[in-house]
Amino acid sequence: MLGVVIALLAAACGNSKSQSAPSTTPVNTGPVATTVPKADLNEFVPGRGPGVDDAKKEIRVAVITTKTNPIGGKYAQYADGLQAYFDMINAQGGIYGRKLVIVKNRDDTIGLQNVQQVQSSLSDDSAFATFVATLQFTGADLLAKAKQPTFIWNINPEMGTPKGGPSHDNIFGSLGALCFSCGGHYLPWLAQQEGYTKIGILAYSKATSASSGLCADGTRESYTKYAPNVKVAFFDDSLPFSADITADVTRMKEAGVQFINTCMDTNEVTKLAREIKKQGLNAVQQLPNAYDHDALAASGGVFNGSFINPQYVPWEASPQSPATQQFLAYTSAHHVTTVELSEDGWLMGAMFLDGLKLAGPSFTKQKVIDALNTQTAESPGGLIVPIDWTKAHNDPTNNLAVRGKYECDAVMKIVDDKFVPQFTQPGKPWICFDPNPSAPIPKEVTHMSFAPGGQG
Amino acid sequence: MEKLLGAIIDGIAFGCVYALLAVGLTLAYKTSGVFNIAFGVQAFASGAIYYQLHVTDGWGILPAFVIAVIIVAPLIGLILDRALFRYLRSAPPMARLITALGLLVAIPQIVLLKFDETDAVNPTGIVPGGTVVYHVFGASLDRDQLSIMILALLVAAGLSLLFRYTALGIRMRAVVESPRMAELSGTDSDRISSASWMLSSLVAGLAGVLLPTVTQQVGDLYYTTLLTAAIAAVVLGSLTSIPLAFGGAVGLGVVQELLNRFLPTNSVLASNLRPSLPFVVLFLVLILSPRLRNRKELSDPLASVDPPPPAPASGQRSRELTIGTRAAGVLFCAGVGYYVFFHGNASVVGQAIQVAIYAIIFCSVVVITGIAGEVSFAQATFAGIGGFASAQLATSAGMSVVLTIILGGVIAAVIGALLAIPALRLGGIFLTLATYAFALFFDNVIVSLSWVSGGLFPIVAPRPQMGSIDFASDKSYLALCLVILLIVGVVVIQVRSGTTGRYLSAVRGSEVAAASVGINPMRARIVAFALSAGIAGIGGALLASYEGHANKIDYSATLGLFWVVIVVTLGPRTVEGAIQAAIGFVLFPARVLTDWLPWLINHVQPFLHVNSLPVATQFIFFGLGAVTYARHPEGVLEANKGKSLAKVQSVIDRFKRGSTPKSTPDVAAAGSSGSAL
Repeated sequence: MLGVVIALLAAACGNSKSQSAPSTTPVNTGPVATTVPKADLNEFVPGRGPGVDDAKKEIRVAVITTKTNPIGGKYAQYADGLQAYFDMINAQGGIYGRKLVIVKNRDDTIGLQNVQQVQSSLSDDSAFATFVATLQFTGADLLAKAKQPTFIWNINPEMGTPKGGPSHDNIFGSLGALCFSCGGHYLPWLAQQEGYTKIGILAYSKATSASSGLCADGTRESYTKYAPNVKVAFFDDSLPFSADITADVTRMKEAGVQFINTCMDTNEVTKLAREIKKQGLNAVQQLPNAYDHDALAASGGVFNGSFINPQYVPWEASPQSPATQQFLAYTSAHHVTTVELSEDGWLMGAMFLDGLKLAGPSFTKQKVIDALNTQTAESPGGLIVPIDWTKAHNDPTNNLAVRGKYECDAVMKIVDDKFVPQFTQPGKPWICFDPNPSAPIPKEVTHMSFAPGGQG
Repeated sequence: MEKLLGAIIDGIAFGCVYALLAVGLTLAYKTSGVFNIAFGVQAFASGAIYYQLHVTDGWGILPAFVIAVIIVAPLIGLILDRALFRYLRSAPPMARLITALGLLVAIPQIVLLKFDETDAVNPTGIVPGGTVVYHVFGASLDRDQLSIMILALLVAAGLSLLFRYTALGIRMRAVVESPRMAELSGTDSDRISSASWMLSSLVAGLAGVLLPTVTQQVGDLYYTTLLTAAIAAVVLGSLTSIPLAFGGAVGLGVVQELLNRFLPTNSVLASNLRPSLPFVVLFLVLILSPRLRNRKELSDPLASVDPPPPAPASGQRSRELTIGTRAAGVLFCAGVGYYVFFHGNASVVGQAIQVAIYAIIFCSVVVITGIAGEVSFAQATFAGIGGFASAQLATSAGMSVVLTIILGGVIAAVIGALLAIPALRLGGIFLTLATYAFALFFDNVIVSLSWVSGGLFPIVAPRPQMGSIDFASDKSYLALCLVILLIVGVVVIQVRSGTTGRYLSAVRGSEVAAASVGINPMRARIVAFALSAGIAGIGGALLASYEGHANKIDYSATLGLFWVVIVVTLGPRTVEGAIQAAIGFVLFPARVLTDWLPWLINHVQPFLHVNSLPVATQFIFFGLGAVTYARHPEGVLEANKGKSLAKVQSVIDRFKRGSTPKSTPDVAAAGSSGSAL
């Protein structure tokens, strides 16, 4: 179990975003990309099928989260963000004369109940849509067979359609199907920008986490391909869970490593940071999954100098994105914890609303799925790199055709225990690359705004 | 040379982390006879309290340390002694192990109710300026590490002296060997026992506040992971030698560090040996050490005068009651079956399938624990072998799924038998540890092989088809699972009441006596082990086919521990107990905590609206249930069933005779090979 737990935490490693599929097609920067006239958003059309209670005037959804993660972190915050978003929309009158209601918030703490809880969300809760943030997502096939609109915190490989399995085009997230082994341009580019010539790569053993191992392979390949002058001076993908990493840091010190890329969870990189400081290794890290302001404030300075690329428009972007302001203001006023997970829940609520709006007053589950799947640049409020849902359900690992036009990252450096945006232009938090593996690192990166249409 | 010296010093530093736990675990066994697998979570309790007081609430190091280590930790020990282990002194070692296993499952969730530090950041140790670094012969050690090294050494030395030179130490050992004999010599066993538990809990508390500086997290999983690695050192010390446990732990740390330092990274050897070294060492020591093979576990020599465990409740029934209860059982099953097949929604049918599958898997625990009297921590692994093998054969080789399910069972049985041949020489707790080492090795090495588990994406496991019958629909698959459960249930009952079962029963009573009448204990046990593994393998294959994939998480070693807990809590000796355990395992999180209890709470009070309860709550229920194992080795439900049947029997007797009720049948006289389902 432990290995799988880690596998999923390590899933969102640095180069896993390379499949994101932005498009130059202009979309609205507001909370909706809609084809429905504004007046119709209040139209009540009865008989919308399971999960829509006409008597109570509710659209009912189910949530399944890993409420307590045994190795740290509380995925229940995803549900908090979703609830906050629904509260805000309901306070504005809801949609199509109905309120958005979480009918059941199910727990899947150890990942074992995923199939059960998914099945129950379909049969017992009779939910119109299902929202999932769990360590394991073994119930993905069930949701796919049921054609259930599903919105997930995408750390699991199940976003992509498995070989021989049902199409997973009903599953949406703030990233498309993950590519664990895709060697992206971002890290080699960053290394070159910062003048790093010796890289260290650390990952769990494949038994502990298959995705971590693939991430390490992809990262190494990206340096070989895009930055031959940058050398991977140390590579270790044999770490067990809760490993003693003393020797790794010693060996990196001997190898003169300056920049460390890891495919591990926050806890392990914290341990690594402390060991780096202890041994006096003059290197910084690229941190995965560490966009947590409270944790950073309590980290005692061990991360200073390291880089991070959150998957949302950073709160520190200048000027601050209107959608970020809305999220921060609402969650702060309603005492909802503002962390990456609650922002993801908020975002998925917004994406669901986009689907409803696109489907129109006579919405059904299938119409919501189909409508979202016509979107070539879905980005609620412009908070994420736009996703091309016509392609993004497909596994991008060996399929260039399903990758979007750009591979984008928002880069921040940790300075005095604070996140400081780097390489940005005002109103343009993203730096973007051509995701084609044969494309070299450009001399000038493309900067993209909150509104993807305004890039460049 | 400096490189080597630096690596050795670093290894000693990390070895001292293991040593603290290994010494604590040895102390617990030496002074209580309990292989306290819950030692790590006891440490976690103190660690979480210390973090909350010191880091979250801003208390000073000293007051936080006093509360967490000097007061709370011994208090936990005192409670465990007074409430539990005092009554288990004469219980078999396995009963004590099961009780500790229950605590391992329950304690973390109890602690988390109040001290949820799973988001702990930058935990600090017990010395000011813990990150101040000293450079020694090429190694860099900070104050936190030095404090662990010094305290581990002091604890090991102090405890060794205590046992060797003080009257208290000798009394502690005497009480654990035989409390009744110790009392004959004027020793207050109760007081000594309390002191022993408080002392070992104090060491756990100390470890609890020290180790988060190493793991950078205050989570029970981290303590348990380190403890699992430390078990190898404990076994090196034959469970009772503190100096050997200390030396073994430090040696393990050094070997590990040397491998980390000098093995080429990204090599097959590094990838496989690094994560599995402690488990490989544990297994090899268990199998190869002649000392362990001949070693007897700590158990009360007077325990043999205690009465045998009660017979199955069904053995107490009169003929009328047997007919009545069976008829009621058939009617109940028919009613449930009718509801599930004709009125149940997809969720109900899915849960019924899982109940049937887990009942099959739990029958494997009935065979190995209920019949053979051994405890295996590898049942989930055997289920996994069946699941992975079946899925691979069906997907890659294109074989018939029905055949692959059977082959999955056969492969698991063969591997079970191969494991049993060397491991069964050990017996008792050492056998259990060998199965655990095997399970952890499987989790840490074998599962990563893509030809086993499929790698990142789990292998597809299709549904079976038999001629024109397609089991693609859930209802037809449920029917198939029920048929297989019926077959497995009949096999288990036949084995229990047949020659093998009687042989095993005789071996459980007295191995020497059994051997004297020509019974080969090894052969009987190997048959039980292989059968048990085979049944688990079939269950695992069915589970994979139900879910559509062979998912690693369904077969993890940690899960196997919980399976043992839930089965022994509810009824490890009967097929009925396995079915009840499966019902509990599936319905408790899916229904009781998610629907029924919240509904009840919301309807009895108006103030608090509960949507669903955390499923981790089940660990508290079943974990605490397992601590009743020593008192009710037949399982809680089985015990209560016995009482209920006795009452009903009494009413029947009264009705039949119209006068004085017949006394309750003599439980012991009913024999242990009753015809219980």
